[in-house]
Amino acid sequence: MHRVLEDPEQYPISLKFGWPKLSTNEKIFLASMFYPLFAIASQLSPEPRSSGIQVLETASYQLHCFQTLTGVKFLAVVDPRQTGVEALLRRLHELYADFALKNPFYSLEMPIRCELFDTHVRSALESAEKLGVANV
Amino acid sequence: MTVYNLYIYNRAGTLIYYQEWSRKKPMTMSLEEESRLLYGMLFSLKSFSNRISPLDVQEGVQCYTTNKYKMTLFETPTSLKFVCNTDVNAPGVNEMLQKLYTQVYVEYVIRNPECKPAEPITSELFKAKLDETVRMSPAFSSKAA
Repeated sequence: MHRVLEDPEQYPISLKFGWPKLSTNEKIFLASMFYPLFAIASQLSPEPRSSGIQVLETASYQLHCFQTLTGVKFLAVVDPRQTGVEALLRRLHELYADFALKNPFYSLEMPIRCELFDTHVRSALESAEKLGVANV
Repeated sequence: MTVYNLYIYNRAGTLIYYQEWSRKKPMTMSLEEESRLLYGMLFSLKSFSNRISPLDVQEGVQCYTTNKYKMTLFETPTSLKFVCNTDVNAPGVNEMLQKLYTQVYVEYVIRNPECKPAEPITSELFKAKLDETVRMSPAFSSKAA
């Protein structure tokens, strides 16, 4: 990569920093790790009948978790300044109910491979990013 | 707006101090079991947070919120952990924990020749000062329901 940067014929170069994409296995691993942490948080509560972790905050990101009545969890890793994440997660739940559950070819607990679902999720995410508040 | 309880862990993971101000839910397990469960959860939470973080900065978990309480973690560079459960809207818990570390722990524990580093804190003066600092912080106003 140094060679590319030093070679003046390559300029202008645009550099984009991001984190290396997690593999599917890693995603499954992390989600499984989160599940018991969520349950332990509800057990350790000093107040009766607490839910699990809803927002996990660090300096560089926030992780929001929305648990539905059926136990399905929607997790979103966002910038700390992003607003309207709760509404976004609810919107995603609606899309999940519409495109995954109503799809006769979808089997429960399997990964969702549905184009319509992907397109709608992407547009919901884009509008949430632009407005800062999910536009439902 | 209240502070529910506070745990202090040393770098080995043993609980060296616990204090509670208000706890509605009775303890379902002994304090030792609960402290080990909490420490294990914090350890897993930290490693989970490092893996899932979108940036390379490894700053560690600051706090998490559930619908009934908020847990704030303050970790010193010497791996001493201050864990505090407050209600959801409590302001300034991080500052309160930092103050507890610099003004109460360092003064009354580190500088106390009788307090050994790895053992539970038994100093009455430390307890009194800690209680006073917590009660004076903005996170602890009149006990709410």
